[in-house]
Amino acid sequence: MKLREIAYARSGDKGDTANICVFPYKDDDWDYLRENLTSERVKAFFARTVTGAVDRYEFPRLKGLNFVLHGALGGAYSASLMVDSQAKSYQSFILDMDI
Amino acid sequence: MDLSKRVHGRRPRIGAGSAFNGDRLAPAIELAESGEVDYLMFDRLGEISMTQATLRRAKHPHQGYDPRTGQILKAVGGYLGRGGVVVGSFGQANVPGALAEAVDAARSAGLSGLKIGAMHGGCVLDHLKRRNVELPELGCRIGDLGERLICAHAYIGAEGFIDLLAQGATFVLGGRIADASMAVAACYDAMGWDELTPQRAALATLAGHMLQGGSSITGGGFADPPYRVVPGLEPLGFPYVVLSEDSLRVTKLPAAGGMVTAQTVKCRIGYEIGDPRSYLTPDVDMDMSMIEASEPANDVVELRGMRGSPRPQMLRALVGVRDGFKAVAEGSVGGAGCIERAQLIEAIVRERLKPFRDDILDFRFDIHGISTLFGPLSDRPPELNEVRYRAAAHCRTREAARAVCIETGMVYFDRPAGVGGPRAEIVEALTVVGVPVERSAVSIETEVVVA
Repeated sequence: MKLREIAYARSGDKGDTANICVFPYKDDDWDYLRENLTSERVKAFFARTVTGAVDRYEFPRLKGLNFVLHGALGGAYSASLMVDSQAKSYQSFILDMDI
Repeated sequence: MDLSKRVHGRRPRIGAGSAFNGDRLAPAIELAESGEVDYLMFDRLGEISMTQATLRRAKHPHQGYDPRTGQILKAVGGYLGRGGVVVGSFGQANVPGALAEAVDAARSAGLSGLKIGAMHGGCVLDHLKRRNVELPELGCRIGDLGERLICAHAYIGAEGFIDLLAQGATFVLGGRIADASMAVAACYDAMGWDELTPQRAALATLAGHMLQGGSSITGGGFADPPYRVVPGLEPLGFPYVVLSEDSLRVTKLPAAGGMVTAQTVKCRIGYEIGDPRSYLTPDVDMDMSMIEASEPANDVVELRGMRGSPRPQMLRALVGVRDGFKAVAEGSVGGAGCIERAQLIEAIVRERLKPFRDDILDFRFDIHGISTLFGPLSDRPPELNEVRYRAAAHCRTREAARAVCIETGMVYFDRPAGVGGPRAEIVEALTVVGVPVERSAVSIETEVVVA
């Protein structure tokens, strides 16, 4: 199953760091998401572009996860050569993960 | 509640005026004309904006502030005339310039008597140079930067705007005030507070974090049919918040396009943050992790559970630095085998650029539709009718950047067949580096001018 089937996301940047928050559509999927969408799996999914660590934080009441991807954009600000140097499109990419 | 005299018989409302300096103006006018909001907050800065504005001012001393300051003041002139309040970071790197333009605009719009407030200060360049602070991300001290150093501005908290609102100013502008701090000042004034406790600062900072999102709360960046469908994307409106002492409601005008749901608001809460347990601004250390969201009515989301701890001792400043040149060159390749021919161009270009390798710090070659957004992460499609390639390089010198443009994008006939539509651009690359700075090193002054 693709993550897109059960969750939605939003992404952005701070310098060379990207963050992606992910929320399940249904509260019932929260435990499953929490167990399966680990920082290790996200790191592996982005392995070829993210050079640093991936941290994961939780919103227990909103039922959401926030991933912080370090070294995600090939440099900060105009040093980044990426078309989307602000990581806005990452929110759609992570939803393509198989979980 | 002991509300400000500006707010009449209802919970105070603060609307989003803009989320960045290129934002659409119509939704702000819609809010201003509605009579539903008491304050409008205009975020006119991104992280790199102060550096860009400083360079504009260096070139043209009368520039360096938001060139739309006067236009926006006039566009919400009716609202200002009825006592509505505007707070905004219009000053950028030239607060006196923005103040003068606002005064002129008010007079020409028939708003004589309007009190315009300006917060000056926040430049910490000399202070940081005297200390010769270390910039770990650049691996040097600030004194080593020489001509590359452009500016350094501290993120300023709510105090200056609070002072200006207390003096009766209703069009309040500043430079690098922290985005959320504009909302903190508006809340302080609206709620008639006499002291900014950490819990109050958390409530108001969350309001600012929301308002700063603009249309991303009303459904912008959200639609993903058929999973997520947003009605009225064409005229997407801006949100406003309704304040209580311990909670806030996020909503929009009924006629405005889009939607405000727990989902759109949750996306905003998690936008561009790190650890939600510690959202740091000059005013507060806010814990957002235990926030709860409910939907008491259609297009209304209520938030509670944010917690404030005392503000950080140190402020944060951004140092703007010249970082060489960036070259971007593109071209299109069409017909059968176009992906292979684009890859052949990459091989040719990489070979031709070898003499410049010492001055090319970073280089990438991508094909639109295949690798520009996510690099090598996606699988390559078997065949396409056409592709557009894109080479981008970060260079130490303008000469190297020019070589990238010439070899990649500007010549038609020294490359494989079927290549057209070349385009190339060189821009001066800028970067910003964050450094901590003592509060005592940051001085601000407030000034009120009657138009």
